[in-house]
Amino acid sequence: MDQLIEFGPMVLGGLKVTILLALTSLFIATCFGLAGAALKLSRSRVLRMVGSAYTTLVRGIPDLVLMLLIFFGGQILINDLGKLTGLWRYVEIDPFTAGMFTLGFIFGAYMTETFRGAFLAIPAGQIEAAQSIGMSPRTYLVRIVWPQIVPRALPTFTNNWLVLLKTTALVSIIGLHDIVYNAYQAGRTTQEPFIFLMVSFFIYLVLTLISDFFLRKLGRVYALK
Amino acid sequence: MSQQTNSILSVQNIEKYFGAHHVLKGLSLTACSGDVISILGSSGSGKSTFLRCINLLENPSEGQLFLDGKELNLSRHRDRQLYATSSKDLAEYRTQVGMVFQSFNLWPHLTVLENVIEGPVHVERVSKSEALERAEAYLDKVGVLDRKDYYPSQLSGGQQQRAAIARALAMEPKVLLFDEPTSALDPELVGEVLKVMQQLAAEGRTMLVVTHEMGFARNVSNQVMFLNQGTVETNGCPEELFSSPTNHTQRWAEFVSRAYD
Repeated sequence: MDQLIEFGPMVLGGLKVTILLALTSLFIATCFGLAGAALKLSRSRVLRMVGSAYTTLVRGIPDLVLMLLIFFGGQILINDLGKLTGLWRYVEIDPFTAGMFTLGFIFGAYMTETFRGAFLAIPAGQIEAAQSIGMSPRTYLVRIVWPQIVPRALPTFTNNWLVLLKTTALVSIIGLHDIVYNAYQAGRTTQEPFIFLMVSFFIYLVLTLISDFFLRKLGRVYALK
Repeated sequence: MSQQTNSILSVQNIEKYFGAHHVLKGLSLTACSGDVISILGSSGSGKSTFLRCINLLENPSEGQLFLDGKELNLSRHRDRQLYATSSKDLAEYRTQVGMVFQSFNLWPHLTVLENVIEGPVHVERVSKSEALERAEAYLDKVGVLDRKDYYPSQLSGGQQQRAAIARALAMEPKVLLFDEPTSALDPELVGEVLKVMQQLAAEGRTMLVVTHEMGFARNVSNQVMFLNQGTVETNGCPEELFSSPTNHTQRWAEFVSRAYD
């Protein structure tokens, strides 16, 4: 119990890092997902191929491999590029930034499929009706398509978010002091690994329940009548 | 191409290929003010494709479109079909050519009233109060004003289709296209939609109607076009075509006798 009081705050300190990382990654993933879906639904074959290459590549590579590649390889690449162009000197990618971009990039591929599927589920007649009254593509994307994408995307979006939230734990491997990293360190120091693993277990559970609550609320707002 | 002075919509030599499949083989049609033209034909005759080419929901392979004597400029894209050259002209043209669909296509996330004001507010950009006034007048005309705050899914098929007609009318188009407006309805709901269409015809609206309703074609329209395999098989005034079907082509005679079986 003393150990829990002594090291508990340290584990909880990782909570802030985890939440911040998950939310920023979600934002990037959503942007990548929308862009990816737009590519895959594009009329141009080249753009469709770029979109497919993205999703196929990401879904085919283990998250961990991609993360290590971006963390170590990305740093080398950026610095070589800086040397080549002379535009910047040495840049160091910190684990948070690397984790954020890696997770955003990976989950952007899953979000691509989420948004693409939701778009394809909208009957063609919905857009034709908009076109038939002279609506411009920009207007019907905002007024007709988007409000119908959200309720269809929300179930898989929620699922992606929950998986993303848990995948943030991978970033502890490249040294980010998140919940898992701190719990592991506390467990090692106190020789009580299970206590601290249980603590992180409950934290993730509570985060999941909270997300579920809010996304359910959002689902009711956007429900298809 | 010379246009009759009172023609509102003129469609010339529409051809459509789907790959190597030649679906429409040079169809033309001219609608003057107040004309109600029924387009008949068995399935696969190209009648719906023809109607969809008229507002470019389907892109024709050849042909010309004139509204009020003014040609809509078309240009060929890489898929070898014709598209409107200017998206602004196309939008303008489409606001003048309303469309009612077989499956209604009301927007499910908007109420009936919101469906009807959507076009006036977000395409024509009239004030919300004017759009509301207009929408309520048309919803009243088609008899679903009491359902204006409901969502489409809470309405019967007949009510949905009448609301969809109000949505098209709210743009105050010069021509209305109907693509099998009663085909998705339960038999007992067909009548209420036909009655609204009959009322619109009586008001002198210009309408092109792809339909299987022989009664409507015979009694309401003033011209009947019978399509077969992408060509006009028979064309004329309904009294003449229906009173003596055997005086025309054999296919027409068979089509009429099958319809009255």
